[in-house]
Amino acid sequence: MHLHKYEKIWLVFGIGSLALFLAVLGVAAFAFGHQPPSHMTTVDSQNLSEDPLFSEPGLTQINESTYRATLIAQAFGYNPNKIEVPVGSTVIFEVTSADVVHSFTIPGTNVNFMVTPGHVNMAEHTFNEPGEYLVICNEYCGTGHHYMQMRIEVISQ
Amino acid sequence: MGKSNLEMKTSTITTKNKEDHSSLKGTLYFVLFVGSFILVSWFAVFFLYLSRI
Repeated sequence: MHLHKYEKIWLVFGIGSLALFLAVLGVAAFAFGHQPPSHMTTVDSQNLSEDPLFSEPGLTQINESTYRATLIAQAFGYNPNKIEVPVGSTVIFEVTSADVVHSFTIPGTNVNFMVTPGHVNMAEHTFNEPGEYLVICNEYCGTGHHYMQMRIEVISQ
Repeated sequence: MGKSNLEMKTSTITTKNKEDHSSLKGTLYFVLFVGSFILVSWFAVFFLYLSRI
């Protein structure tokens, strides 16, 4: 098969770009542990009040600077709707939905994931700047969607 | 009466500027243009992600 010289150039360019993208993502995932903001843990969304993880949603301290925030998203808010952590804390968010698909988005950070009923949706973030962080839902979930929000207070010590 | 002399119109056969239809130079430039746009935007998004970690 005859390939024009230019065709060879752009085939190398295209395949090389794909290889480069995969290499960068592979190194980020396997060497630096950048995982997508979810995993496969499931939960019974009809029975959250009896679930060991979600019966008492809130903030628990794991170690000196790491917290786990267990949150339930539901139309149209989050439970609890405010958490407080000291500056420099890493917070592992574990969020599920009690009804429809919501999202959990902290603008200006990498925390932006869908909250699907039946799944424990996870992400973690280290809060290095004190202040009040807004959390919003960016999956249209009903007539009160635009009111759906919570706050994360990052307190300087 | 002067019969207008029909001037023989020398129809100059315009030899159409024969393009080489097998030339892929334009295609190459455009492929590289689109490719570099994809490459630059991919890295822009990736570095935005890294800056927010």
